[in-house]
Amino acid sequence: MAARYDVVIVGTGFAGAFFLLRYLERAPRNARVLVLERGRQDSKAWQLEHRRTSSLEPTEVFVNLTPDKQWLTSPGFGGNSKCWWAGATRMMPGDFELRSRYGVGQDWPLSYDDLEAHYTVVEDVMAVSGPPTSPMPRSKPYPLPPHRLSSVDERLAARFPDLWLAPATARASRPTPTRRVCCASGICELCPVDAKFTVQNGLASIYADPRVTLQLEATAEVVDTAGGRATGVQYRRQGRNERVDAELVVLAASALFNPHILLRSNLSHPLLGKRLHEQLSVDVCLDLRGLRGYDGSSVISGLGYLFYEGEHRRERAACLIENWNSPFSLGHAPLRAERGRWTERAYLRFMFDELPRDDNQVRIHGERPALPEAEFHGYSEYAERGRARIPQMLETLGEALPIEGVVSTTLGRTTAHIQGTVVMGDDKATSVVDRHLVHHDIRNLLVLGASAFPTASPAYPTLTVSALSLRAADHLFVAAG
Amino acid sequence: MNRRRFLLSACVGAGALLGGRFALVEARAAILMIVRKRLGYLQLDEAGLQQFAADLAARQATSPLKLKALQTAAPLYRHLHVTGYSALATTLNHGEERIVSAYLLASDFFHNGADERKLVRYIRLYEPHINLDACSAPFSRPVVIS
Repeated sequence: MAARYDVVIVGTGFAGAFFLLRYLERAPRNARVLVLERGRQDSKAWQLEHRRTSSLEPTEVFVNLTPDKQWLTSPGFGGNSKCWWAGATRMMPGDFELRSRYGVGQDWPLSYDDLEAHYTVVEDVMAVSGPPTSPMPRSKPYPLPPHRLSSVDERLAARFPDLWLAPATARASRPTPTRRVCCASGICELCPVDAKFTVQNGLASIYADPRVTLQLEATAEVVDTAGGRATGVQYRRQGRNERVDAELVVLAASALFNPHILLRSNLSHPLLGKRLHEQLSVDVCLDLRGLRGYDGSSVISGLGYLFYEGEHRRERAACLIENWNSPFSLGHAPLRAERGRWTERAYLRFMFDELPRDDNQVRIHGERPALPEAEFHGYSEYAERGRARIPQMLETLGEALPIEGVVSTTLGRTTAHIQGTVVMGDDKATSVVDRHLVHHDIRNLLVLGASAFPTASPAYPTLTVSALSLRAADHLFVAAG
Repeated sequence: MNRRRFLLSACVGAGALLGGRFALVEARAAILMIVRKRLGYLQLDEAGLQQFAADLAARQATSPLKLKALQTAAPLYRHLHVTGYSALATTLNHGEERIVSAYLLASDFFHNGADERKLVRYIRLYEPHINLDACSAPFSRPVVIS
């Protein structure tokens, strides 16, 4: 007879962890929670020793049909919190209302205001550092003070006040009980000083809760359903097939694996697996005249919002600009050779939002059905039109920066943000899950994470993923009375 | 394995080793040439520079083919100084600056306050991912504590 749980959660990354955090706050003392994690518990010491964040290779967990387009994932306890670079921006209000404000893409089924309180909680849990002013409404200051701007950022912030800011980041600017201060090493995926928030250093305690059973190396394969309800989960662990019964099933396995599990569960929908996307990114290296870069206090020392919100979004993608403070991270030529001018250079990353295409998708791999396959055909024309404006954007930045020349312009292979594939919406004809991330047809099945994103904001997705999970858990208890 | 096949395999293996060795020697020479050409205004510790070139060539961070091409064109290239931001200029400068950057970051130059009067000594390749040089970013300034 299969074991029975109140909740089975698949995945231990941001989406699963923040759901579990809120669930345990509100669940009864005798609640039984099973957490399935396909990877191992690769400790920080293991990661540093092996110079990688997961003992599983990406090729062991998914097939990338278009290797020129990277999709970064780090299986194991803590999920992508192990390998993220700790960018913790909120989305802008307009990101939720692209259709109604700008007539493009589609609106999210919830607004910025619906998430604001949850954003605040996530920022507290992650001890996010950020500036005193903000391009979006906030009910509370950031928990930690801002990182130090570089000289390049200072120049930009002086010319574009309130639009060029210290980054919102979970790279600590002050010591916390479990983290040290970021020192701009530029190797954030490993973070040797453990300055960035991870599930391992920030939320490991919830997995030690007596109500929780954590099973590692347990790969969820199928959600069983009957009569329009999820009844349990089939999974494979240590070479054996296992099954548990569940009152509630929560998939939080990322935009690569959530659709794969649903497809294998025969929960078909015309959009399931489709609209795989992330931001389009372009790295631009600039030579500067008489202005030195790389002297901020964290790997990304400034964020530019001056091409983000505005009427241009009717025609082309919004853009968030990162100033890379680490001259060692991008594999390019960080320094100049001319005498005394070694750091008169800036690396800017332009990140454009994306209107997802149906032909970019995740499917079940034909020969190895236990793996998902990712297929990518390109970015939208909307994002490409944004990218085409980079020369004009540089002209504007030139009002603040003494730009001597453009050294290189390179299309990024990834922003490490995998989104779409199980999109949310109010209409079940055009979405798979609702605004609370509940499956439209299977009402005791939640599908958490960036897989629900209907469109890509230029902002990093992690804070929104985590806030949506808190909100989904809250809704469970509200709905249950 | 018969004798003929053994001898053939041995010859192929030895050829590959020699070829690889030759390529490394050429890459090392090209790296040395680039550093000397672009950092002629600094005093460079010669033994350290040789070691740097050997270490970097072994990493194959820059395409051995490109380095071989530079070495082949050495008589002209050594005196070639392309300026401006044309496609050719940025390509050439970019390749050179990758190597110059690697050298400067691998040396004590910035640790010594970029003092051009001091002899620049090679320490080890700047590879934070491998060496886990946690807080060794030479230009970053700490957070301001108010």
